[in-house]
Amino acid sequence: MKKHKFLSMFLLGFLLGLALMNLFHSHTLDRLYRMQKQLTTQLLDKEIKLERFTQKAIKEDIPLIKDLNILIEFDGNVLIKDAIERNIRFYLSDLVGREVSEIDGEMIYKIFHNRILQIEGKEMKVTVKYLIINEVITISVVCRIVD
Amino acid sequence: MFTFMQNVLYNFFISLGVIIGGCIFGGLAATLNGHPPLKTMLDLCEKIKIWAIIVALGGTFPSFKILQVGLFNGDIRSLAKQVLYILSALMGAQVGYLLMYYLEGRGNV
Repeated sequence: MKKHKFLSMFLLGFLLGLALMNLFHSHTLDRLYRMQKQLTTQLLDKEIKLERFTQKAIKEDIPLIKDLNILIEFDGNVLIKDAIERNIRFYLSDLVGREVSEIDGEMIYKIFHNRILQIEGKEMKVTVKYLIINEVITISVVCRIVD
Repeated sequence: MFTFMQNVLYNFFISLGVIIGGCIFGGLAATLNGHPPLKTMLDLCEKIKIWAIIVALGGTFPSFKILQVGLFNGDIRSLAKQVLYILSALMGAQVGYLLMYYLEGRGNV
């Protein structure tokens, strides 16, 4: 009898705890679900636009920049690595959709080589290893924290 | 037996409990199912509002029977009592709904 009493108390506490935690985080969860839906819609919209642009480019036979491939060598936290990638993508994202012949490779190299990035209060020195300009721009960089 | 006021209080809190309990645990189920909890809670609130009143009244049939007796046999006193019981259950459900509505942030999540 006593065992059942404790079990029921435990289960009730567990359920109430779950419900309370759920209630506590419900606003965040709802906001995230909303953002997820919005981003899915945006992604679909962008995919449709990209498909149209691609078809147009194929018809006119003009090589355009379609994507960016950023390769980072960094010995540290993956979240910082993602932040570095976001930072580099921010500078290069304008190039997507342009003609390959318009891209100034030297300028891209000069933008990133020996550049100091401020990420989460830390200074990161970026060194460009190589840069390939094609329909996909590939940039490989080495990052290290400046002491 | 309970007095009239005690019954009113019971009805109010039972319907309030049905709404709040149903919504909170429904919200938990929504989280486990990968659905937005607050939106589900408010949807559930609207769906179970009428059932909360029925549950609070202890099933609809005794109430309807008393209403019928009150109407056709002229027992106005018990008819008025039943109406007040229904109203208290309705108020409990409405308060529960409003609590959930304001918790959700009036659609401003």
